Order: sequence, then structure tokens, then C-alpha cells
Amino acid sequence: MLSPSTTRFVGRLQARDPEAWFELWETFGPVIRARLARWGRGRIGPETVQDLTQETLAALADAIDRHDPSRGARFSTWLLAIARHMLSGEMDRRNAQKRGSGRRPSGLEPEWMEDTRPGRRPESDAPDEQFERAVFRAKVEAAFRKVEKETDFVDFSVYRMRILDGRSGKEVAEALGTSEATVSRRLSRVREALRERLAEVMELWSFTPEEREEAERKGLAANPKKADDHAFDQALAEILHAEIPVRPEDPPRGS
Amino acid sequence: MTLPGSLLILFGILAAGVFVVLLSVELARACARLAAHLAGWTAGVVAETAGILGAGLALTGGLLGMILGLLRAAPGEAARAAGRAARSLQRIAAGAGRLALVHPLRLFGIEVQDPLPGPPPTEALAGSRAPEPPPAAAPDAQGEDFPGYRIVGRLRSGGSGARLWIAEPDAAKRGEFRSRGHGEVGRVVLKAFSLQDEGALPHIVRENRALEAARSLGLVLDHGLNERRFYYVTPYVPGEDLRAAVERLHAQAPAQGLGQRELATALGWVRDLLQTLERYHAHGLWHKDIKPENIIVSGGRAHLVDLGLVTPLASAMTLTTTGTEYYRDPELVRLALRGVQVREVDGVKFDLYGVGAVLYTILENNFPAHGSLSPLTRRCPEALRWILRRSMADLRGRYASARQMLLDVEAVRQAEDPFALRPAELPSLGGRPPGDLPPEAAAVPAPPPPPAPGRPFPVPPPVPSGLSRRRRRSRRRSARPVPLVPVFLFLGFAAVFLYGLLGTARLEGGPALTHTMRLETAPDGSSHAVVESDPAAPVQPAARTVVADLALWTSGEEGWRKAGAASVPHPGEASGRPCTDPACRRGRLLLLDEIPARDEAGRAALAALAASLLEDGYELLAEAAAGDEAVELLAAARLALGPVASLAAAPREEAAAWLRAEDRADGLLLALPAGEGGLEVLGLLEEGGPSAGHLRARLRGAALETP
Repeated sequence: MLSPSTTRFVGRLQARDPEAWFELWETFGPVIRARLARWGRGRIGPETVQDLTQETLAALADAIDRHDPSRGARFSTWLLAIARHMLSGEMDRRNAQKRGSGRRPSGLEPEWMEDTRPGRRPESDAPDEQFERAVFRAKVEAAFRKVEKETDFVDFSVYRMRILDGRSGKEVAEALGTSEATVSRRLSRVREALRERLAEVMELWSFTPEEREEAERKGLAANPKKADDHAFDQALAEILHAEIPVRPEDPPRGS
Repeated sequence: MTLPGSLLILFGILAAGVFVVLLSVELARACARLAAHLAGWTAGVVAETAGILGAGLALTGGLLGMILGLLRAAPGEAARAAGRAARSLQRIAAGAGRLALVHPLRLFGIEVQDPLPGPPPTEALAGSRAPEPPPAAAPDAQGEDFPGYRIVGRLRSGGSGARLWIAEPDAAKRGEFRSRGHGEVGRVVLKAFSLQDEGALPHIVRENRALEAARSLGLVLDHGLNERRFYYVTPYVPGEDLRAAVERLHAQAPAQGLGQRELATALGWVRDLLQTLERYHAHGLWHKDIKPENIIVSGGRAHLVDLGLVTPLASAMTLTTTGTEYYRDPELVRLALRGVQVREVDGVKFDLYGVGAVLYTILENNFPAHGSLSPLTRRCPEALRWILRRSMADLRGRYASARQMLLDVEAVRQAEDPFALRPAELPSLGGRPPGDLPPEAAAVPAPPPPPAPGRPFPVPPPVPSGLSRRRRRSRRRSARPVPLVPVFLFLGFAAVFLYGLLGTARLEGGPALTHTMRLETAPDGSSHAVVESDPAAPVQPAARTVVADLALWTSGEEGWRKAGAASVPHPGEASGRPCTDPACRRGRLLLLDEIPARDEAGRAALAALAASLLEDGYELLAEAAAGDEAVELLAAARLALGPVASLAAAPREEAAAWLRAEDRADGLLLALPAGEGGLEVLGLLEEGGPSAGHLRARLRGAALETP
């Protein structure tokens, strides 16, 4: 069953709320774009990749009504399946044009979507691990961005210097001309905000309980003991550093 | 040996040493030039050969088979394939010809005009290579379309669809530029929009908005409008774009990142960029498209080019999402989607985000794929890392001005060891401000003053890098003005004053204003305009009206003039009076108005124009916010006032419905500030539309009636 926050967000998408669309685009657009570019390398250009990404996200919102929670499809699986469908539709269209026939690509039927469930597709077609990691990373990054907006710039910078840049507490304190105790206080504030936002984002972008618990399984627990702070920070740094090569495949685009 | 003799020998040895060193340097330079020439020539030959091979493969591998296969089944397709095959053959022949004739000559430095058809020029915007000659099949590049300019090359078009030409102004134009204080202008870039291209209209509208302010900054030298195109002229900055310069810099630097020397060079570019932006912002302009491709490195300085998205910071228009992904703050998109107006956001901070993204590109030789969270993987001073993050931070935490960021950047650039500088020592965190910075650009009230004589484009006078303080002081001393300068300045001001006085007197015969219009907000939140008779309204000194459908009418010193030849005959035109024919349907005009934000006289003139149109039964949509594309511009207007026989307010939802595609406005009136507080109204109407002829006649009639 979809969580109330997911249901609300899907409602906004279906009502074509532009801000909801941008949030979806900002969070998952680059992942889909990188994936489509990788699949279609040499066959489709950046403009088509951009169009297909938009179509994928639009199809996601339109098809979401047909989601059957009892089948247990993950959000990431849906996303990948729809992107693949969009690409194959594009290829069909091109082949049909080459042949001179008017064959149209097949629609996004529920039966077709069923085939996307894990375990029901041939192994070679199953969403790969790298894509799953990229989607998870996109969720973590979305939470990180929300915290960046909410917290003080110096607090957030201290967290980045200490956790993502790997500086010691003493080095950060020296760089900013402050005390280690202050650095520690600033770190705690950001970490607390991160935990809250991570829980929200994971709930919003998950279709299954297993997907919702993914953050906890990867060391990003929402309500840990004090002793887990270090593990939380390390897990976060590892996730944010791990998938870096996914996005730079995308060239900048002007408008 | 006597002492003077020893000195002479010593001097001789020293002179010989210096000579040998200089000779070695010159030899090294010559070798480098030769190597670069050989590399360029080889690359050209390889590219040519690859092109020939590619065309050959396409011909033999696919096209011939396709022609044979389709010959019976689809003769049309076969004919098209045959056409492609012919083009491939032509390409092969042309390439072989160039390999045999042109390239060998180029090896010996003999540049010949390519007599054979070749691939389209691929020069980057604002030119990183020598300008290409205009293609033979480009009749729209002929000089008669751009009076006063000779086309010498072209640049690759940007996203606006406008054509970019490199041109040389003739002697008269050069003199004109000198008299306007632009100094000696060499080559220029002509950016031309076709009026026949519907897609170009929103770009014309957008780029027009900042034209006047951009002129005052010396960014735009000239602009023109004829029956075929609208164009404006900017100085041409030859050089390579920042992306190429950064790649070169990283090729010279150690693998782990930029060293201190390269960093000093790169931070000099960032300083130039920030100083340029400081001037933009002081003149009320938002560049809105800061990215490496829009920064040209020439003579060691960075020049910001491309005015395509320049927007007045105080504009009442709706914020648009235009910009370049990864160099545009995602927050801007979010705000644009909420429909906020430009003046409701701080455009300065969005430009600074772009500078941060450019700084990231400089440090990483890559684009910031993760926005503000993009990781720095190469060596970077801690203080610079802080500057980068602050420039791309959330709006609240971001630098508030270009000057604030500039002070921090300069602190790093001028530090003896930038890698030892701590963020806590940056001026924005209480550290000592760096010395040797030019004074802050003062905010300029509207309308902005004319540019100072000889001001370089677009970067303010440089701080010479690499000079000692003593030498800088000595330069300043030598540049101190002689006592005659104030006298000339006084005479210059007097001449300008007299000219202005005469100009005002000469223009006193402009249209008298009989109406004023103001916007009022009702208690329920809806807005409406009120038009009132006001015989005592001030005279608009330089009102000028231009109406364009296919025919263009301009008013100048010689009176009304038909600039275009392709007008649609209409009964209303013959008499020069407003059309009274019932068949002459009045149109709905959407009025885009940049005047109310800053110009009282312009507002009054516009109100008079609006009132005269309303008296004729036009429906006028006053626009407070609009989207970006031409059709959406009309369809997405959020605040519309109409139907406007009485200019009664329509609720927003009703207005939006009214503007839908099946019932949208027939045309667009764009009011723009013109020189000396004047007004320019550009009417963009559907070609041959029912109201086009009438509107022309009405406007012409109104002008003729004016005493």
C-alpha cells in the first residue's frame, strides 16, 4: 500500500502540479537520463534522451493508478521498466519509419507492467544493481538538498567539511577559527535534520515496505543510539561518493 | 687590464648573454608556433580524410544498396536516397579537391579562400578561430540588410535561432561609435532575428527588454529593424571560450589539480567575470546565462558575452526558466514555476550561482553534475572550496553581491600561498580585505547615463596582474590627468547639455498626451486599469512607434515612413485615417509593458496610445506577467484586463480562459524604453491578419493628427 505522503504526491503529479513535476525531475531525471543515454548510446541523441526522460516521468504518474501493491513492485523497478518501455517505443517508431509502415508502438498496458516485477523477467532484463544504487543515491541526495535549504550555511558547510571532505574536527575548527565543541554542535544539528528528511524522502519514494527500510539497512537509521552517529555519517559519505560517475555522462544543456 | 676595460668586457658578456637568452626565447616561440601550425594542419588533413572515408562508407555501405532495394518498392524513397548519394559523392569530390589543392598550400602558410563547397562553419560563439567567410548561398547576409556593416564571417547560432554574423563597420559607423563614446570599434557581432520566423518573436521580445540598459553599458553598439529582420550589434571578442581555456590549463597542470600558477591565472578570469557582473548589476541588469561557453578568454582577460537572456532586475515580467542546466540554480526553475515576477527575486544571486558553477568547472575541468552538492575531487585550497560552496549555497546563505564574492576571490588570488589560506581569513568571514581592487561599481539610477568614453567591453579597466605595487603606483602617477583635461571635460559636458537642449526643442512637436492610465487593485484582489483624460499631461519628447506585421512603419524626423514593402492593402490605409469599415474587425492586443517599472514619461505616452486604441474599439490586454514562448506568451498571461471597452477587470481565471488558443489575442504591442526617456512601441501582428492594416492606419493617423 502506498504511504499517505506518496499518495498525496502522486495526486499532485496527476494534477500536473508544476512544482511536483520539477521535484520528480530534479530527483530522478538525471538517473533516467543517464540510463537512457547508456542504453541508447550511438542510436539516440541528447535531445531524444531528454524527451524520453520527460515521457518516462509523465508515464510514471499516469500509470501509477495501475500499481497493484500486492504484486510488490519497487518504485525503482517501475521507473526503470517505464524508461525501457519508452526507449523501445522510440526504437519501434524509428524502425517503422524506416520501413515506411505506420506501425505505432504498443501502449503502456498493465499486463506489460506486470512483467516488470522482480523475478518475473528474464535475468538479463532485470534492473541492474547500479541502477538501484543510483535511485537510492538520488533519494539520499534529495534529503541532503532539503537539509541544505533548511539549515544554516555554516552548519551545513561544517558537516560537509567534516563528513564528506574527511577533515578532522580539529582541522575544521582551525579552518573556521572556532572551537571543536562548536563544530561538534553544528554537526549534531545537521545530522538530526538529515535523519528526519531521509525518513520522509524514503517514505515518499518507496512503494514497498522493503524499499522503505532500505535506508535503515544501509546504515541510515532514523532513530539510532548516540553511538551510531559515526556509522550514520560514514554510511552517508559512502553513498554520496559511490555513485558519482552516474551523472557526469550527461552534458550540460542550454535553453 | 684597466678597470673601464674590464667593465666593458663584463658589459659585453652580459649583453651577449641577454642576446642569447632573447634569441633562445624567440626560437622556442617560433618552434612552438611551427609545432602548433603543423598540428593544426595535420588535424585538418585527418579530419578531411575521415570525412571522405565516412562519406565513402555511407555511399558504398548503405545508400547504393538502399537505392537498388527501394527502386521498385518505393521509387520516392529511392530518389531521396539517390539525392543523399549524390551529396555524398559531392562531399567526397570536394574533400579530395581540398586535400589536393588547399591543404598543401596551407602547410606553407598560404591561406586561400576555399573554392569548393565544404561543411558548415563550426566556429564557437564569439569566435575562437579566425572568422569564416560568409557562405556563398547566404543571401540574407548581404550588406544591404545591415546598412553600415560588411559581413566577414559567421558564428554558430545559439539556442535563440538568431543568426550571428561577424562584420566590419564602415567608416561612418566607426565615426558614429566614436562619437557615442565607444572608442575605436573593430569587428562586431551582428545578431539577427528573422521577422518571418514565428519562433523568433519571443526572443525578440526578450532581448529587446534589456536593450537600452545594455547600450548604456557599452554592450550593445547599435540596433536596427527592417521589414525582414531585427538585429543588434555587439563588439566582437576573438579568443577561445573558457571551457577550451580550462582544458588547456588542466593539460599543463599536475594530474591532482591546478597548481598555484594555474590557479592565479584561473582566478584572474573569475575576477574579470565578477567585475563585469558587478557592472551589470549596478546598471540593473541580470545576465542570466553565466556558463563557460559565454566567457571568452582573450589577451589573458575573461570577457562575458551573449546578451540573449539579459533581463532587467526590476522587470515586471514573469520569471522564466531559461538558462543552461547545471549552470542555472534549480531554485530559479522552482520560482519560475510558481509564476513569480522577475523583480520579486534577487537575480544577482542567481548570476553568482552561475559564477560558482563556472569556478567548479575551472577547478574540476568538468561541469557541476550534482549542483551545489558536486564533489571536488581535485586539489583545491580550502578557502576557495568555501567560496565555491557559498556561491552555490541556498539563496539565504549565498553571497549577496558580486563585490562580496570578488573580495573573497581576490584574497585567495593575492595570497602568497593560497593553499595555506584558511576560510576564516576571507573578508566575508572577517578577514583582511585584499588591496588593489578597483572601486565598487556604483548603482546607476534609471535611465542610465551614456557610457564613459573609451570604456572597454565588457570588462572594466584591468588591474595589471604580475606587476609590483611600486610599478602600479608609478603607472598611476604617469596616468594622472594633465590640467587641460578638466577643461575638455567641461567643454564636453557643455556640448552634451546644449545638444540635449536643442534636441528637446527640436522634438517638441511630438504627440501630445491626452490620457493617462494607471493600474488599481480592487478590494477583492483583482486588478484593473483606469484611463483618464488629462489635457495637462506632459509632452513625450521622443515617442516613436514602430508597427510590424510584414510592413513596418516608423516615425522619424522626416515624418512617417513605410519601411517595408510587403504591406497588405487595406481600405483604412488609403485615407490615412482610422478605418471605419465594419469589416475591419478590431483585434485584441496584448500589451507587454516594461515602462511602468521605471519611466513616468513612457508610461504616460503608452497610456495615450492605449487610450486611442481603446476609442477605436480595440480590446486591450494589459499584461503583468507572461510565459516565454510566443503562443504561451499570450495563452499563459496571468493578469489580463478585458474585454476592455471600459477596461473593466476580468478575474484571473476568466482572463486565462479567454486567452486560450481558440480565443487568443491577435497581436502583441511591446512597449520599450527608447533613448532619452522616449518610448518605442513594437507591434507584432499576425501576417495579413484582419486588424493589422487597421492598426497601422490608426497609429499613423494618430501621429498625423498630432500638432
